[in-house]
Amino acid sequence: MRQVLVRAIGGLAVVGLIAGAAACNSDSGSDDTASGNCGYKLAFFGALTGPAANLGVNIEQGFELAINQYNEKKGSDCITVAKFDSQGDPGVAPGVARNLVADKKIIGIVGPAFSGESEAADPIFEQAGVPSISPSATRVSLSANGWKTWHRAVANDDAQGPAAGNYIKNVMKAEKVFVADDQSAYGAGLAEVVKKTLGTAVVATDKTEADGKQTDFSALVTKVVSSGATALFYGGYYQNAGLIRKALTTAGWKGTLVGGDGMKDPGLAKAAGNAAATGTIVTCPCSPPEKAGGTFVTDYKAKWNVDAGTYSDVAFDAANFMLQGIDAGNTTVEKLNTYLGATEYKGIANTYKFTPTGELDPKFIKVWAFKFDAAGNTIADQEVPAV
Amino acid sequence: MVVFAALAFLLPYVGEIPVIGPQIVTQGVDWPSALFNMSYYVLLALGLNVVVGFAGLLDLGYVGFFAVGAYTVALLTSPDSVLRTEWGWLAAVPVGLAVAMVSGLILGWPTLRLRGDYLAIVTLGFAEIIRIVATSTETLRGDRGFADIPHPPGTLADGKPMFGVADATPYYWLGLAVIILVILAVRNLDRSRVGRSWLAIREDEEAAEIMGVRTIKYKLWAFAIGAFIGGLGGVMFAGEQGFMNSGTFVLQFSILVLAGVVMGGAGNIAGAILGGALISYIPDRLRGIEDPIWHTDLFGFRFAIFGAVIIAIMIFRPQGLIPSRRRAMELKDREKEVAPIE
Repeated sequence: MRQVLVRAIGGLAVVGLIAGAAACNSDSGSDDTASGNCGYKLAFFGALTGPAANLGVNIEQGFELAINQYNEKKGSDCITVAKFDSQGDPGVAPGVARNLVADKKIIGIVGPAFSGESEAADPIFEQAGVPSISPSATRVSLSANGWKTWHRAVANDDAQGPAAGNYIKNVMKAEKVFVADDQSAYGAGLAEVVKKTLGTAVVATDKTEADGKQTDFSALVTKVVSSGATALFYGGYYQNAGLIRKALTTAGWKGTLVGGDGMKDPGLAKAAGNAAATGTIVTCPCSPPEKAGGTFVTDYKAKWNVDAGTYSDVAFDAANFMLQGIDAGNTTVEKLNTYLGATEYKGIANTYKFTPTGELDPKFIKVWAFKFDAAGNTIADQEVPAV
Repeated sequence: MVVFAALAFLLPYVGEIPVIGPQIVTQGVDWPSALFNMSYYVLLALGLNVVVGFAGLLDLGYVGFFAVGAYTVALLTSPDSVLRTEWGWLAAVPVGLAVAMVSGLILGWPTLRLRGDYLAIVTLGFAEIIRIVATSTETLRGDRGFADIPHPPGTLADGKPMFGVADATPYYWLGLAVIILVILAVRNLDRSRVGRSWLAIREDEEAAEIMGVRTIKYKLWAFAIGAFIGGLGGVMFAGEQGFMNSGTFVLQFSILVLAGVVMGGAGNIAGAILGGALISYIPDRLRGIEDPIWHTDLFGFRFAIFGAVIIAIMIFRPQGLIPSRRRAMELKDREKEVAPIE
């Protein structure tokens, strides 16, 4: 008898847990005020949790700031922010994307943030006809899918890689370069282009595990030191790069670590220690956020209490581009998509005009090199030619 | 049984039921997609149930077979593959399943002499090998993955493809049909001579061998059938997603499926189905729900909540949610045996 009772209580507890969670559904009814081109939603799609959340949060905050400012200007909650957390995982992305397109009030998407999830989610957006602007997915092949609603507001890896290579060759004048990558879609792709640009200057190559999967880089460090290279290009993200920089400094290597936009994060200096990270060069197909026009930098800091990160400004621009379109009366997905494809938009970070395949017009591609200073911040160094 | 199957096919429309429906469907993930995710988790749980539940072989690397199935399909169909064969999905399925089955045999053969913990370690190693090979070799493209994997064939009357990208319902129905076939097959096996041999091996391998059960043969059977079903999950996954990379096949996935089987009731088909469905459903259901204290998405706490649910189940129902009758009896017997010593 007692056992039956225990079972019943146990069963109830489990059911209660699930039902309790279900009871507080966040899905509240939305009001229908379609006056003045209002009542629509713009969506953010990318990682807000998970190992790659930093970049996703940067983008989301820039995106949300743009919409908040727009609403303040309008004096009402005109456009609603809808956030879709894909965890940056291509396995999760399709389900979340289908959920996004089911909401017919969403007429534009800023995202997906990463290339992998873009491959998985963009076909769904394409079929639903919802226009998207990715502020950070830089895989070259994405534009070869023939998607009509897809746009990216940054240069792809084919532009960033040569810029990084040129910087190593022409500015740093390094003759022996070691190239390593973290085997991620982004890191491996970028490292490949850099290798091509550097040609015979590459003395050796190596691979590491992805961020969070490896903490001991002594094998790589030994190879770098013994190769006699004066520069190490690492295709990967800031977490690993910081640890590698730290290990290299401990081993007494005097060369410079160079990386792409994935390493442009204060997290690198945190992982390496500010002293070790000083002088590390990162390239980015973006303008320095402090050079961003208007009051963006101060507004961002006031709103989120952190400095604007990589791609925050591009996401801000992408959102504003769409808001400008909505303001002009393009309130269906078809009209907004046509608008995005036909308009040249001058934002705070760059001027945007999309080619028919959704790429940024080559004449607006900018690649900058940044240097870590002694305080662990990235300081704009110079613009580098991306050819 | 038939009623259950019919109801399962109607699940995509459960949201239409007033009052109860909205409580069941997922908020943050499209409901048919969540159902499809459940369907391949259930397939995995069914397959692992054969290995762990029936034959009693602790396999921690089960997702390896899922990966083998998915990767074979990707290699044969995707334009990114070095093979450049670009077959249709359907043509690649039998190859994927065969390769998964053979990999089950290859893993099973040398590990047959191992038991318990040792077997668990070797299978763990197998899963890691698969993951590292997938991440590091050029052919398997690591994190870059394979794009444009074709969907299952078939067109509707209006000329649209039956298996599109916008709606996951057809994939769920396909998954469900596969699950039903697998259930029928596994149930028949369990009730046959093979099933009785598995039972004997699970209870006492030496005794079984002395009584004339060919343990090697039947353990290999269990491995191969488990691998086959795991591969089925993999080919379904590849066909629905259209894109896959090495990020999917993490160790955590293997452990999750094992947790599902144990939670549902190892050795019982209904239990494995329930467990498999729950491990996929609970995290998906938590998505898009705001927690009352921090006002963040409850999804962020999924593993904490999940852990609490598993602990609760293990305390109140150690034999699993729907236990195998024999297992439950055994647990009872052992309680009696232990009692006098206390």
